[in-house]
Amino acid sequence: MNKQVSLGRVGLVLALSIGFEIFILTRLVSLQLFQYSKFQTRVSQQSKTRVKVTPVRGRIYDRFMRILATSLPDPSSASGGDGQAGIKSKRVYPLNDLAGNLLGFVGRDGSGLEGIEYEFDYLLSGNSGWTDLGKTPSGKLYPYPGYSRVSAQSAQDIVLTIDADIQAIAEESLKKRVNSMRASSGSVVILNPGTGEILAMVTIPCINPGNWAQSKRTLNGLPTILCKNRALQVQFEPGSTFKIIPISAIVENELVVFSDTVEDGTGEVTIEGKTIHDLHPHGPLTFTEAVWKSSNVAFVYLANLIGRKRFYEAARAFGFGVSTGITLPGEARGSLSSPDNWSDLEFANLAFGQGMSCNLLQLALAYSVIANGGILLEPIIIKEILSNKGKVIYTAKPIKVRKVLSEDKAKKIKELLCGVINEGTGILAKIPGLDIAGKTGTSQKYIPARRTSSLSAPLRQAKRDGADKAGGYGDIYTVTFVGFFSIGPSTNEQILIACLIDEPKVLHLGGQVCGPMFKEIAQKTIRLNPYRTQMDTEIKG
Amino acid sequence: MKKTDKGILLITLILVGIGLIMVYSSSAFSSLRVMNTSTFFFKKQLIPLGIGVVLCFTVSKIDYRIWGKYSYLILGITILLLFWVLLFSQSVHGTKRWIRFSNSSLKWISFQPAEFAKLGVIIFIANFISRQTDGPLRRSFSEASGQANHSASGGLYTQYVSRRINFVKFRGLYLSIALAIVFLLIALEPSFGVLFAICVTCLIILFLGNFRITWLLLIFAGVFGAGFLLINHSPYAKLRMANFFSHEGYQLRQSIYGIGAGGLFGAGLGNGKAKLFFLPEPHTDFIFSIIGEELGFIGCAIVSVLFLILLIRGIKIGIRQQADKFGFLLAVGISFIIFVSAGIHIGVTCGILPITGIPLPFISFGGSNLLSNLIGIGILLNISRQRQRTEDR
Repeated sequence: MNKQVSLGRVGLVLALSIGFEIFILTRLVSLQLFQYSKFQTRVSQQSKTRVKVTPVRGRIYDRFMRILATSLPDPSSASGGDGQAGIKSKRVYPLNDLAGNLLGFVGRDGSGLEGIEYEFDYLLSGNSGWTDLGKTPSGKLYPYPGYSRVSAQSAQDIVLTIDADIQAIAEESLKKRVNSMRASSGSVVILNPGTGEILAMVTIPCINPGNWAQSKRTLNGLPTILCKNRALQVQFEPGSTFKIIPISAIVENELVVFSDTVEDGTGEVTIEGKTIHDLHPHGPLTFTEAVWKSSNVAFVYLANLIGRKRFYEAARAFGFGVSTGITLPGEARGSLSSPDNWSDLEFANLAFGQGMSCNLLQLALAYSVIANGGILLEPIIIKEILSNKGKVIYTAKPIKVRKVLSEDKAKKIKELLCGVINEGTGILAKIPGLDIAGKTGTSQKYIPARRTSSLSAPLRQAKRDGADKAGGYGDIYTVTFVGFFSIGPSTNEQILIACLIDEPKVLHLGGQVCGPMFKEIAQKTIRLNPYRTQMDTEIKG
Repeated sequence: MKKTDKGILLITLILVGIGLIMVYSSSAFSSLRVMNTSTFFFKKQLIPLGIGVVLCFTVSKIDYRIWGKYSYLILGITILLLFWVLLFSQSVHGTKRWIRFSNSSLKWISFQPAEFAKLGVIIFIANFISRQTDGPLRRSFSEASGQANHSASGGLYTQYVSRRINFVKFRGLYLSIALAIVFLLIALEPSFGVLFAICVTCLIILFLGNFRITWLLLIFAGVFGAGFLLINHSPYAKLRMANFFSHEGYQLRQSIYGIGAGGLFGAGLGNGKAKLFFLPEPHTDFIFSIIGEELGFIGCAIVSVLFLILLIRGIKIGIRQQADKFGFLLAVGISFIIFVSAGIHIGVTCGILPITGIPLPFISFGGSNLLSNLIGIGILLNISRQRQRTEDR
């Protein structure tokens, strides 16, 4: 029989096939076992990318949980990919410019640049996470279900001690007053002197933090620095409101009896060839009257009675010359030089609050000492911090810095200050039926001799107008008014309002410029529900 | 007693199973994006699979000799369909490979004549060669010329020689022309991958059919020359050859990355990255790359060794059937067309052969390929049964 099939040929073809198979397997071993890590990296690099996921920024609330700042998704800024992870959020301030200079603002990248947004950025921004996104050959990103991700820890929320209503009232009144006085700026601090909680912190001119880049850069036709929180970041010479220091030193050390005559009626005193006089001539003044009428001459005598060292210590004890400890950026802590360096004239000037400086919050806290029975408190701006699940993880408690005065001495001073409003320079702030203790202040501004670019327009004008005044005090004023009143029986039920208007041109006395504004703010505030309920019914109107 | 070769059946089932899983894994993402459902290709593959299983079973019941009897008809139909696809089909990506029926009742039914041409050509050659009882040029071919058996007497030597020349002149020419037509039609589609697989398989069948080596070398040179000319005249193929030799082809690079990234155990089913936009058509011409990435070296080795085992078993069936040369050549031809196709596909995806689109038998998405391969297995199973019958006698 003829052999039809050559097994040799079959064997040869089979051997070739097995050879090819081995070739393939060798190739696979080379690719998959020896070059594995190279290809692995390459594939994951080309097909996958890690994208940072920033959490939605935390909210800022006022003390009654009204939203001052929040973040909303901003579809207009979606960055690449099929969407989802690329969406950024936009910072939104529902009450527009309310408390703008306190809240600050965020930059393009969403990080805080000023104010609360800056100081508490680490809480508000939260912990960012990441997600792996698929990448197409052309670089387009898309979500892929199998890829890992670490979700962003959403940020913490901050509850401020601010009361948006009071803030709004104060902003409205201050804006009106700054405009009508043609002043260059103004600020108001309202706090609870019993706890140190700040209820309002107002600056005019102010920014709209949601649109800060486009905020107006002029006020009353003058260019101005916008984003400063003037109640904190600007220092000034307080003038007569600083008399709280000599008053306290006198009362604490019982250096005079209130009815003692402290000024014989000359109305002027000359020190180092420079004559200091009171605004209006008046007869002989008792200590009480000197306080009510805010006689500079009388306080020059009183300062001498106190002595430099005690004067300086009292000022320090009230917190002048040191930071208040507030958790806000850029505090201007003011200056108070050491008593050894004071000339007689400088010491005399200090008696009525010239030649030193402070910020408005320091001044407010110094008056809080009188209001709360002698304790210097640290100011509080953060009431609570909420976790991302809404749990309260921090609650502020009043922080006592030191006991400055005994309670009864503080009470005596308070009575003295009530007279300022009822009988003295603060009469324009008087509200019938409400006991307000307060003090006015009018200080001349120092016109520097050297050329400085940071001068305000009126100062520059003054420098041009009277060359003789350069290097001394001119007719440009900073006016202040600090007052407080009770809205209930306890120490914690008080409201303290400190006002400052800088460089007013229509009027220039503290009582005249700030008094009516103080009254307006106080009246509107005590009509608000949370404060009204604590009030005596008859004062409501 | 009839007994089918269970081994072949088992390997086929394993490969088809792997195929279904890999078609789903490699197409789920893109089909979710494009069709809104991850199972579009998976479901679409189930229909030809069902038909294929039925056909495989049916064909395994049909005596394989019937294919030899009708081999001319089969080749004729094949050539007609190949003409049809060139003349009447719409081109897809610049190629005309599919005959589509798209009236309302036969929506989306399409098939590739080239895939069926594989079987047609194998049947034709196997039948053709087997018609010469012995080696084609050494012995007479009385059966084929219709003469009755005659004893080999020296007196008939002249007659024998003249018949041999006759064969060379007419039958050899006939075979060459028939094959040339089929090859040319496939090359015109173009479908070089399938053409390549058919050519290699034909050469193997001729070789195992005891063709003279010199003849084979001639044919081989002819095919090689034709191939060279084709590549030179088809910009499409030229580019791919250039890509292969410079190793810069995007698809090739992505395919190799994918396989390499699989490592020993692979990234796990569904975790491959290459199929995500990087490899075009991952569920068809590059499915082995996905297997490499997701199932690793182990998966690749199992799949490629399964094809080798299938080949060995197929050859074994053939050898046992060597009493019938048609049966032997048919079994060997079917085994090799599957093995060679798989070898080309794997070789292309791991960068040892120039890129040419060819599906991985049983595994790649595509109905025609699956159907023709399952029919081939059906024939193979029938041959294995016949073997039993022969031995029983």
